[in-house]
Amino acid sequence: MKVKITFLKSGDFIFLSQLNLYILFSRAIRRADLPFVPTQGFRPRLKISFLTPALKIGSLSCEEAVFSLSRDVSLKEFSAKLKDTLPEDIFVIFISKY
Amino acid sequence: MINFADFRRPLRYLGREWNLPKKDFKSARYSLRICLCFPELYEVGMSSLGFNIVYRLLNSFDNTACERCFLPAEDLRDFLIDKNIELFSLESKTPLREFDALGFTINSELNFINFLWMLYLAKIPLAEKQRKRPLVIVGGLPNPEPLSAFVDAFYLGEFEPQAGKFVNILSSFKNSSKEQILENISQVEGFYAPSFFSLRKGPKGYNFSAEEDKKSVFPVRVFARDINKIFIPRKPLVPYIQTVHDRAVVEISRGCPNRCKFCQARAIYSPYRQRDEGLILSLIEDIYYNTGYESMSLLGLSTVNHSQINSILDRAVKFSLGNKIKLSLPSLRLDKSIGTVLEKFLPLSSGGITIAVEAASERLRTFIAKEIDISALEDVAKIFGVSNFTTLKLYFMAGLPSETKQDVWEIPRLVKDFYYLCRRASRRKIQFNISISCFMPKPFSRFERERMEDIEELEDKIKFLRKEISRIYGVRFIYPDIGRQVLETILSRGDRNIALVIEDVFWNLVKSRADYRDNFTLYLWDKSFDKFNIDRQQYLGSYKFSPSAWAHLSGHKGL
Repeated sequence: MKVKITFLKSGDFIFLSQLNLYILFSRAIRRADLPFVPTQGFRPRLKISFLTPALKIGSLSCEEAVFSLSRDVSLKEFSAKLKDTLPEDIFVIFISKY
Repeated sequence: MINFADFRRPLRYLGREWNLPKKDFKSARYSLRICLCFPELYEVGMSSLGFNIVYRLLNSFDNTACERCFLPAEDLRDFLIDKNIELFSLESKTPLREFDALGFTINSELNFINFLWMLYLAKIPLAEKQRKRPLVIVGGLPNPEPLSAFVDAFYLGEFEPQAGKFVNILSSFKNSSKEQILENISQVEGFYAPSFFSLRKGPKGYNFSAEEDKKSVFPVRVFARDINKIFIPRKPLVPYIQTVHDRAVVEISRGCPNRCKFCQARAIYSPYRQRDEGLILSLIEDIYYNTGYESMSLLGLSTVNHSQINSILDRAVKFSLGNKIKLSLPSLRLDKSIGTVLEKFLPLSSGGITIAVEAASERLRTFIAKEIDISALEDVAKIFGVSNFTTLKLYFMAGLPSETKQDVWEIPRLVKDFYYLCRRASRRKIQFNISISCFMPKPFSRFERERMEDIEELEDKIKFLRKEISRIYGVRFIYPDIGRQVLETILSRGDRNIALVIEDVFWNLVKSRADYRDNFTLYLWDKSFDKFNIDRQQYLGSYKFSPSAWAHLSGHKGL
């Protein structure tokens, strides 16, 4: 199952680089104990793809990312768990199936 | 107000990590405000386990608010000087001068200059005698004497057992004079107020005595008797930028049961204590779910020596397979059991192995009491044949006491033999890294009284090793900065006189606004040594027949 989230990067987190944003999300998913899909590479990472292009550091932005999950999770559960593990300044606006 | 967007890596200065204590750091509700400082950049400081433990520990007291401050990088540093802004804490951006106490973690002698930089940027007088507040407390140094002129009190050893007493004294004597606080705090074992004692150099070595009008317990190094029952942070901070060690850390033991003569860490973290298997596993689980780190490291001076290492690894590997995380161990000791330990890692397909061999010849290894089983290298080579380990790092030391040309010759020979052994065992390309460092006679190690070899001798040895080892195809040679290691030895064995030199070098660096990497330029230091007519060779020679500058700090006490 794939879930698309639309989120706002604001506050101090506008200084987050694209790589750090990826790390932030992957750690948030792990903290939430959500069923993630690892990549098949030599060093497995989480499958997260960003639909919006990487922006320069320091810009307030609204971005989209797609998470791959290994089993079905209700969107309600997903959003509740993710809300607890994301910092406030990464504000999730919208969650949908992808 | 500072616009952090103008500086490199702004997230260093924002204090917005995950797992930050839920405290309103700005409120006046706290009877004690402490700023924990680390005289290195954010990325280095946040990787220090000790720093993180003390931060969590102090914040676990309800009446205490503990904040952090790191050395600002050169760009922000110059901005602060130009705009006349004081150095501030990360969490509430309060100037350091407004805190009740500053606690510095200094774990390397090479950070002495950075320590002075932080005081200078905070507009706090450097000399201990010239200031009333805040109290400057330094922990983590084996031999703290070189900083005596700048510090109100040192803390020796492990902080966990005495944190409660420390917070009590500081908060109840909040409005008293500095002398009163120091008098009370020096009654607590582990604290050492250098102004209460004199350390003079006589013809027959150093003389340490208490000042007449001051009351204090004799300084001792404190350790926790049972490391299962002390405070353990289960919610460490997770930075949002990459740090030097960007992973979860679980301490499995403190101290080391081996008695290698060159080792300082063994001496200052003694005795050897280990954590119970059950506690370690619950820590692994808790720390993973609280941080979400994708890699984890089990920490200890010699992890192979843990009595339950096999069953711990079995269960830890199972946990990391289930959650797709990386598991690693710090540098391994070549033990008979190394083969079985490494086999546990086979299901995890990544990483490297680091082995500290130190000396290549059997004779020298026996002399330095590094009793390892060199034939276990065959087991390591076998493991490389069947696993996905990609890198192998071997540590050696040059300039050990009694080292002969023959001993140095054996290093490239051992590397070559082992390299071909691995090549035969495995068809994959293995990255071989050989790291050489110079022997430093550090205080409290069993070689503390030996001499350090001259720069010229060491240069010759390193040159030779570099030539020989680079000749082996596929092996990378990592060589030391000899000047820096000489400087580290001088500072670690220093006495109180050396403070003059440190301060002089610091002011020269401030004048030229030098980069931090210039801190270690040896000729700058030589100029200051000459200025005060101090012979730096006296800190590098042997101390065989006289009391050393740190002999009075060798007492231990368990709590």
